[in-house]
Amino acid sequence: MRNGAVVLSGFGAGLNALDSWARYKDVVIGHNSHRYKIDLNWGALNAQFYPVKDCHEMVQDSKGRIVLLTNHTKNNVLIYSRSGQLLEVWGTEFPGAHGLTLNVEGGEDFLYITDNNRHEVIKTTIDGKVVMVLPFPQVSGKYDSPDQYIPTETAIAENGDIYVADGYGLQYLLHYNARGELLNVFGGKGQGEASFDNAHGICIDDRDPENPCLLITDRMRNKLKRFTLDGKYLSTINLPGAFICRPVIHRKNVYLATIWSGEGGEGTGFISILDEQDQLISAPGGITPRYEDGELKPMYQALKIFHHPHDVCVDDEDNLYVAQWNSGQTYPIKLYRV
Amino acid sequence: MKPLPALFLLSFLFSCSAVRETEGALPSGMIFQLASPQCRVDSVLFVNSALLSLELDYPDVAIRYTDNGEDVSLNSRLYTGPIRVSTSGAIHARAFHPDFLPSEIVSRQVRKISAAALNASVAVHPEPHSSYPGNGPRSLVDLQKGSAAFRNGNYWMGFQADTVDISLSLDTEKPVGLVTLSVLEDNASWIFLPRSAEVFVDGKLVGRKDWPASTSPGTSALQFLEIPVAGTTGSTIQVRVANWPSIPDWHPGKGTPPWFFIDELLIN
Repeated sequence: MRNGAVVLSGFGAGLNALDSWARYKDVVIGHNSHRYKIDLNWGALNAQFYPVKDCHEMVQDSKGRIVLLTNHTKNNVLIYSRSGQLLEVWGTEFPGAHGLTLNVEGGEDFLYITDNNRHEVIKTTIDGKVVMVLPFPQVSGKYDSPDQYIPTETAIAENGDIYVADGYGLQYLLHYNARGELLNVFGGKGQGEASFDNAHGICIDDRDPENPCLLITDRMRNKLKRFTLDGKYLSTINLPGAFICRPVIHRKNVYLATIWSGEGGEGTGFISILDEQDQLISAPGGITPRYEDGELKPMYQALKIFHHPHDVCVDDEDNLYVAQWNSGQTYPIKLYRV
Repeated sequence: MKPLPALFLLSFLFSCSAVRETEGALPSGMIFQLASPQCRVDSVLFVNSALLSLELDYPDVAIRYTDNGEDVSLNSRLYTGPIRVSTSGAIHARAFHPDFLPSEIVSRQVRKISAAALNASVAVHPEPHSSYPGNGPRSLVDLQKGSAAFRNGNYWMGFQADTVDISLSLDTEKPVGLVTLSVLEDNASWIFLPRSAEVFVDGKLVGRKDWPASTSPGTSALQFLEIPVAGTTGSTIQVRVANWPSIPDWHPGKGTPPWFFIDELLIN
């Protein structure tokens, strides 16, 4: 593994030499208003007791706790304090645990988990009690069999409507009401602007409360696409060289784990942060973002800090937690805003 | 630059070279490594010359390079701007920074070729797989090189066939001294080097080369496979590529036919 030093250090909380610890903690990554110090050992656990495979996604709950979803069925959900102390684990029934979205409904936190292997979306309470399952959407008429449907992400609208991105399947976006009744299907695999090549992530962009809309990643094409809530294509944000996983809205910014960069080589990830004008303003681990004639110059990795970032969680103190796919079964990396 | 060895290992983005030199001179405790510089070439295959550029857009990075096959160290030549290359060879480059470990070495091969086959008509049998058709048979002589990201663009022809016959008809009779297959080896994607290739000029067997079976996973690499030909002259050149009947036992795809990927056939 190319960045073996980094991956290994992610395993061994407290095993690094002190000078090493001090040295890398001085490194500041990112650009402009969004710069960070790095904690490689945040959340590192004894893998014999609390193993992870891919760390797919993370969210912060209403109590301020950090919730991590992994596809290891010994403990699919690990709940940490912000400082990285393990508080609780649950979940053994999600072999393809991939997408994790938190929604507050009637004052209570609920989680929406997409499972690649089960070909369904599972809604649970914050402590793991299943309250609803959205099965493979046969009713849509788009699918012949469950294995064509490999959901990767969900987004929940203000009214409780559920959007599911079938990012590893036929690339449709499925729009349900809060009771799980299918209302609309749009997107799909294809070449057009309203079509996708890996519709991996989706979120509700409610930064303008009068005009909420959807942001959906077109990962293999390095694009972030904006749609209306009823599935009409609006516009595209080009992020050449950035293979973006899912958009996460925090305050006025969009954060996107970028799993590969450049020509898409292994181990080339970084983090992308957009401002309100959809401009890439900071790329922790990547090169300095530069625009020429309004177009972003192709991005690529500058420092081998991340291997394959798959999601970024932004906490209430504006610090980041980066969950990684296929990165030596390492635990998340925390970035402290400076 | 050094003359070409018989087998080229073309590791476009990253090589696997370990970080060796300079560590003793670095402050202790350094753990982050620079990414490899981006390397761009206007034409990997060229008739006159190629322009090669290197970049790692990060403050205080210095890129150094060699063109004689040696590893890149802090003593190697400093990159200050695009490099004009007019002979076949390789550039090896690496990024350095006072606060970070040096990057891995990125290597890029460029190859000067003759214009002999540029106007040839080309026939390929069997047809390539519909997922990897290249840009038609003529794309084998258009000097447009594919990258290791083999799904990008219509550069690569992919086959799952015991033998692949490629026939060139030159516009006039020309001397033929060396035939080169520009191929992809990417075992992780079930793409393997062929077992052998024979060259016929005007129907007469004039050259043959065998390659060993793959024994380990290896990394993705662009390769030039050379088939020396006893100096001859002719107007039709046929290359018969023989592939291995199945993927070797050490590989997860064992027992199934390997893929053969080719993007250019070069005649010198």
